[in-house]
Amino acid sequence: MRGKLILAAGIGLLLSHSTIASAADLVWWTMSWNEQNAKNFAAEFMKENPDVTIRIEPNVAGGLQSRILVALQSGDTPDLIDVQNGINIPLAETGKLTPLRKALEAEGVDFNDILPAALTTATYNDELYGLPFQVEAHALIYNKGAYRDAGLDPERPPQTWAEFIEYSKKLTGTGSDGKQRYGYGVSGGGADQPGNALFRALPFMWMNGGGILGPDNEVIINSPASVEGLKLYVDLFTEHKVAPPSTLENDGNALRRLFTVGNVAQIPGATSDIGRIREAAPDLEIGVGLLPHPEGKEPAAILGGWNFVIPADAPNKEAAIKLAAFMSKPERQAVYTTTFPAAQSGLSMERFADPIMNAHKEMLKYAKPQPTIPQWSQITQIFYAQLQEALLGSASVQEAMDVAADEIKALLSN
Amino acid sequence: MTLRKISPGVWFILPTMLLLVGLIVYPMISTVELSVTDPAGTFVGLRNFNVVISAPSTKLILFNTLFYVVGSVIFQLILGILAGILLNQTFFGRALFRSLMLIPWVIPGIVAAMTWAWMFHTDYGVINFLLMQLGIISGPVGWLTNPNTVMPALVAVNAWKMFPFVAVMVLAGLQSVPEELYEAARVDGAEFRHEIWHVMLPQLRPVLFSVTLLLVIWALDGITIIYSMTGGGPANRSMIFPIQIYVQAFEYFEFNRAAALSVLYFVIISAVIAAYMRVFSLDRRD
Repeated sequence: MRGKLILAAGIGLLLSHSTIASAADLVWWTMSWNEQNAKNFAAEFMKENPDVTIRIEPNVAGGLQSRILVALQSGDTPDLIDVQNGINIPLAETGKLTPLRKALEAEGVDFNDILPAALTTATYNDELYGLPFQVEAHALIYNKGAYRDAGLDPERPPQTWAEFIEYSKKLTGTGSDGKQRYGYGVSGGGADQPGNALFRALPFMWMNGGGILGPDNEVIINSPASVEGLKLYVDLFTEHKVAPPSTLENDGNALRRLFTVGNVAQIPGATSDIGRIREAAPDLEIGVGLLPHPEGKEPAAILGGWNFVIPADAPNKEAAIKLAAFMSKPERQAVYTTTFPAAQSGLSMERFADPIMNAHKEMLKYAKPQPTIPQWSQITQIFYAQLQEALLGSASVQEAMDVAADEIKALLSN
Repeated sequence: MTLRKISPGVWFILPTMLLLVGLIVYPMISTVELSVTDPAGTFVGLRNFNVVISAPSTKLILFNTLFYVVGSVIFQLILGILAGILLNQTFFGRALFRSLMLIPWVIPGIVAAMTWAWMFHTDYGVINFLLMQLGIISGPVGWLTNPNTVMPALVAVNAWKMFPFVAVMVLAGLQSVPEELYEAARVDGAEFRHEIWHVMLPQLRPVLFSVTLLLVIWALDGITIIYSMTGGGPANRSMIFPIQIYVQAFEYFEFNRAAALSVLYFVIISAVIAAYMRVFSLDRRD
């Protein structure tokens, strides 16, 4: 009898353990690089709302999507989560996120100030499932010293694709320091994939009037415009040989490191990359230009960034909505973002006055959100695998994209 | 009070059994259930299996998995047996070498994998640097990006990582070989190589049987090295079953297809293990 009691008590303890911690505190999953910022804002928020206790739990970027998904599926969730805007819709599709539009409006969030494209990244079936706080778009970051070394004007980055190819070829070769240098960093592998390759390759297709999916989510990945755009990205490595031999193992971080040591002279990147390059190589003279575009057309870029989401099973939903509204103020976003704030009035703050950010601000105008369909994660995996086939040279760009088109169509019809 | 009639032994193992049921049996049943339903929970028969089997990459993945397992186990055994026999000899500094040999096995897998990935890097890896300095290759080799070298490179890392385990087991096995056997062999005029072939290896058979079984199992479910070095790339050229299951579930959110793949993989593994056990037990009856 006594044994049974102890056993029952033990099982009871096991079951109750997981719920003890989450019931009382509001849990905020922030990112590791934002832990201190989040703690400061949490302290400010708790002063205004003495009945709420916030616990900050920092995440790392690798595997974030699956960690959130597991939490959502298990029902034992945090209250507020920072997510990349590209995974907002796939998370919303699970039905485990709280719709936010009305609740946030009631808390006085000014949606007119937020970049419209950023709101699109959080909109699924006409409802808003995330609150954008950070937006960014790539621009072309280049090494002014390498430009001078190659006889190029360091104040005039390439505008058109033709110029871009010409510049990249001139920059490739042995520099005056005797070291090998490459013109452009193509991302074709590494850890942070398929995201890094997508952000660098898809704009080439968009600028040329192509893409992976059209406006009505029809598959256009193997259309002439898409293939021509992507072919330039692939050719930089296979045909023009202006990208380093390690292209198939380079993600964004690897390319930035190669740029920092002078091995690659031009890379696409965000404002956060500029900060990191300056930190690692203070003497390197950096220039930034718009992403080069086809003659007579406009540049394009993927709108990157971060949104707050609130799980449907969040134990402190009301307080979390209040906290999200609190964080939506432009002056707070301007501190919390690592690039630009989603609330556009925040851009006027001192932090964004450095003229080196001008090209990135300009690129925001050309930035488009990724297609907002639940299968997008899987589509990007298919695209990435076929992009690698083309980079490996085991298939032409047209052949690779034909295969990708078939796979995507099969996926969408399932 | 029928409860009293149950043997106390049953009560003693009950907590463990409950735990096992909760942690092993339930997830297995749940996986099988997931594999025959759709995300909404409706029964769909074998559709998920159809989808995963007909996927164009499945054949490549199966081949890669086989290559990885067979290659790894063979080299782990060869290296491990050689190292074990070597370290069983008496020589100066033996204790030091025995401890040094354990290093690959002791380092956490993820640390070893990341270090190897850097060493294999095309542009700034030390392996290409050394080979080019020595004039063995003229230009950088993309060890992890060339479809022809990626699997052998990964097998090499896995063999390096696990051979100390085999060596330790072989070493332990050799300690229990009676000295008389060596003496008898020597009386018959055996040299060292004959001792290895006719004394050591036959005596090591039971050890090697279990070690091989363990190595096969570990290679079959080994994710760390490949996932952190190549992620299955380039273009699935180093994709193996366990990583594909992970990717399906946690990158594609296709839990039902991932479950179907898991069930499939479970059947394959069971068949391999059963065949192995059968061959060995037949062998023993002879």
